Amino acid sequence: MLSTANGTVSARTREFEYSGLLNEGTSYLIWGSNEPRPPGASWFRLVERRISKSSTRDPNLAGNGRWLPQATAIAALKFFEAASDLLPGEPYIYGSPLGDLIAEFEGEKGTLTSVIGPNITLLFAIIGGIPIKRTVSPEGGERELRSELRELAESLRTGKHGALETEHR
Amino acid sequence: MALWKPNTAEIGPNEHIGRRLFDRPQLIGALDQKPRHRLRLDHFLEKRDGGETSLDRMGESCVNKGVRTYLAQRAIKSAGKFREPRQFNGWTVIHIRILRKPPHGAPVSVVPSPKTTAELDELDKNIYHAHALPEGRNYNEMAFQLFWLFSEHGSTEYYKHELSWRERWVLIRARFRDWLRLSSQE
Repeated sequence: MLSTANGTVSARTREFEYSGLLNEGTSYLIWGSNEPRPPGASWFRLVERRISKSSTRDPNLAGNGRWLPQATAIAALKFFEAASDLLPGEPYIYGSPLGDLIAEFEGEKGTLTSVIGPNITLLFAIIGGIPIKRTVSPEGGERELRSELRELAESLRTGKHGALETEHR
Repeated sequence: MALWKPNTAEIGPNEHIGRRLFDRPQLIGALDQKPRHRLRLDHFLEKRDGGETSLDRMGESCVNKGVRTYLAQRAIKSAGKFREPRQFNGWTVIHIRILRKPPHGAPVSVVPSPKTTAELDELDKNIYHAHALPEGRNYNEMAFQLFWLFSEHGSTEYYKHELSWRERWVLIRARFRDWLRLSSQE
């Protein structure tokens, strides 16, 4: 169980009560949508447990790569709950020096690296040797996240990315 | 092979550029994951210097053995300076041409940035040090650009380094503390 000064997140009962993010008592309301979604991936519970166990409230530990700040852990749980069925397989997860969660996925034709933080999620894919970047903010809601991931997942499966514009600076 | 003296004004057209590889920590709750022995995004993430990424100039036209030895001594010292000691595993190396003219996207500018200040200890000085400039990319975008280029077009220059007994003890102590914290959370 994750707990904060403002509320608690119970991964087991799958109810979020986190002041400022979700309304109290809302049943696992994710990314601003409560529409029914397909069942989560088979690996979801395993990854959920790994993230929950790595969560800490100690600010001195956040960003050392071994612990995740609680806000990041909550954002990551929301991300996987919202879209695990679209992702190509079980991710390899680790913490970034800034306290974000990084999740790496391997598709048949490329890789996807997502950087998940409390305020923004970045999706970096390499498909057929070509880099693609997408940014998803919580304001975009679950629909935007799923839409971006659906396109990327299809490209990771087929290797085709004609519909996806690569984004570079 | 004679020790190469780098031009401190500019990077040559055939230089080989390396990024140091230190072992990376695993999340305390994800220790059951099988370790992956390959490049990760966080190999290129740097909190400091506004997104500038530290690199080593490894040689004028190939990896220079003398330079490798010079740099390895400094990398091993750096490995001991992290909050928890890390093992230095070598470098991921790429030809400067790939950074200057990548197959996709904007080039990555690399500039010499030798560390030669007199006050520095000998092993903190590095005449082969260089910086990759973010040029508008944020911290994560810069890391991804380098991660992609080094993953697709780079090679690995391994270096065998083992932690000292003192460093191992520091690590064991840190792991024990993590375990205590985890136990108290559960």
